[in-house]
Amino acid sequence: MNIFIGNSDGKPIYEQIYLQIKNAIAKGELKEGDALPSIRALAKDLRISVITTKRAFDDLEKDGFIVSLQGKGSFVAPVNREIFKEELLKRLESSLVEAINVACELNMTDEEVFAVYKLLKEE
Amino acid sequence: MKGLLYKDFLNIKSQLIYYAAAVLVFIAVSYFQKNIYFFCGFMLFVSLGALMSAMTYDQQDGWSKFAVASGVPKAKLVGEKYLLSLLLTVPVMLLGVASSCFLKNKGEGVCAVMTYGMLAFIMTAFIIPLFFKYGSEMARVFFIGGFLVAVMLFAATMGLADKFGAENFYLLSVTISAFCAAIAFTVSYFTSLKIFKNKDFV
Amino acid sequence: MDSVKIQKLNKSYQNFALQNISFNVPEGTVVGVIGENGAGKSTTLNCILGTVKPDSGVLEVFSKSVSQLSETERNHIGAVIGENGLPSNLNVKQVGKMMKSVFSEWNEGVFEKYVTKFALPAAQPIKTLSRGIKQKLMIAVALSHNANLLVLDEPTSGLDPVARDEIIDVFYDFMQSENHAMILSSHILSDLEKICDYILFIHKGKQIFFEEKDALYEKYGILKCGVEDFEKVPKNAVVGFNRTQYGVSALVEKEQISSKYPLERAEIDDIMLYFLRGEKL
Repeated sequence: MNIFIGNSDGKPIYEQIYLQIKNAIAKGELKEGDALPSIRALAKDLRISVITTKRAFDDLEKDGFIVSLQGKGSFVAPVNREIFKEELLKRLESSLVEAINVACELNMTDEEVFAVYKLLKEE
Repeated sequence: MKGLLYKDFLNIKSQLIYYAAAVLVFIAVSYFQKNIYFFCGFMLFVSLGALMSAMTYDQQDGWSKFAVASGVPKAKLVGEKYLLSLLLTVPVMLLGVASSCFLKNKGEGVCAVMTYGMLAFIMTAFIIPLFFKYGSEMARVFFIGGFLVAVMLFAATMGLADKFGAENFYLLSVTISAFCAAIAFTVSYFTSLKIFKNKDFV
Repeated sequence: MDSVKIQKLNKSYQNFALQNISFNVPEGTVVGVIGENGAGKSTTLNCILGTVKPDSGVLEVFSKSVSQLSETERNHIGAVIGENGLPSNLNVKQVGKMMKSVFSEWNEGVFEKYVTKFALPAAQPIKTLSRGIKQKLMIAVALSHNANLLVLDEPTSGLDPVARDEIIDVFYDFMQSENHAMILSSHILSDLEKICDYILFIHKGKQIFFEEKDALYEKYGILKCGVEDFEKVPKNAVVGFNRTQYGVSALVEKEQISSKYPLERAEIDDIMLYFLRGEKL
């Protein structure tokens, strides 16, 4: 599992960790039952504070992506593919809404919009 | 206190070797001059000098502050200095007592060595708390001043020996000074401990 | 449980007074103390270590008043106060031998491990060693008597970046145990930004804040804008600002700034500088 954190994108570090672990689960890089590093080992490797890693893990647990067992550590929870599908669908919808709004501003017809879509998809 | 003594002896090691050689020289001098007081004065000097040296090293190193910060018990830090004083003085005293056997007036020799030894302890009892409270400079001033006073005082009182009858005087002198030394040491220890406990180590 | 609990700590000297310092160091966390020289950082740490007697306040370590800790409990506190304190005529080997009977909880094996790890020369008198090596030795000693709490006053000053990195690694290793805790003061804020969970900011004896480090990044940001835009910013959102002929930069509370102004991330040294040197509105 790769986790890269940085100060440039403005997102809090705990959020970056949260997203990267979630994505790893979504892509299948982390599978159900896989053990995650301890919050302290992760803090050491990433050179950040324990509170930061703990917060990321707490959020992941709250949202159902991981489970933490007292004394044993944290593990990837049973993966619900639907959640990830839902999220991606939402992203698609909001992108499309924006595309529709711009198309209206340009007074484009549906066929013209679809032509652009096809062209871009081939790229 | 073993570790603390180890540190102090390592610190004053070269000095002690010099002192040991000088002690032997003074024993020889006392023998040839038939005057034990050369040795006695030097014994006082060695005992106090070596102790003050050890305490000065501690001061320069900032040892006390570090030791207290690291949780070394204050009673140990304070008590070890008294133990050090005993370890520095008693062997020299014994050497002196043994040497007085070669003198004509054994009684006077033994008495002088023992009493000067006790005097060393009494002066130490002043120096240690002074050192803890005010540092090496003050202690040094007291050492030099006190040393001169003590030597003169004692030389004066030895003249009284003839008036009281030698044997009794010697016994009395040793007993009284030993008693004073014991009390001084005890009072001094508790004073030093109090100073240590209330001190802000900056 | 809190490894350290401090409430309303007060200590006055002739020209300086530490006033009402209150914070705690929860088990398993690292507190970084920042402030200018003379602000009161060392005094605070010295009060925890018992080298300075406070005038008033609650001062507890391992849930016991500092003055009532047993010798074993005191052994469980490791201290680094500057680079001096060890007998400078002794060498590393002799120090190890000495500490065996000075500390009831001395662990020879652990000390040897650090001597090797830090490549400390065994037979040279400490007074001949460089500052960096002396510092590492102090840290090695502090870690070798079963400490559960480390109290460190500028433990990495005088170390080059490589050595500092080594030491931070060592601190992280120390913090792998959940019941360990650390409190350290440092001017090298980049180190604090890595390992610290909380930041305590002291200025002229007063406590400016004691906050979770992450919360600081969420609370504050740096606004850079023109003078006119700056006029529109609510006054109480600005901690401190710096005006040049090219514009204004200010440390602001993010919450109160409208989202149309992009804010840069405020690092700990930004926060400190704007608090101390920034012009106030």
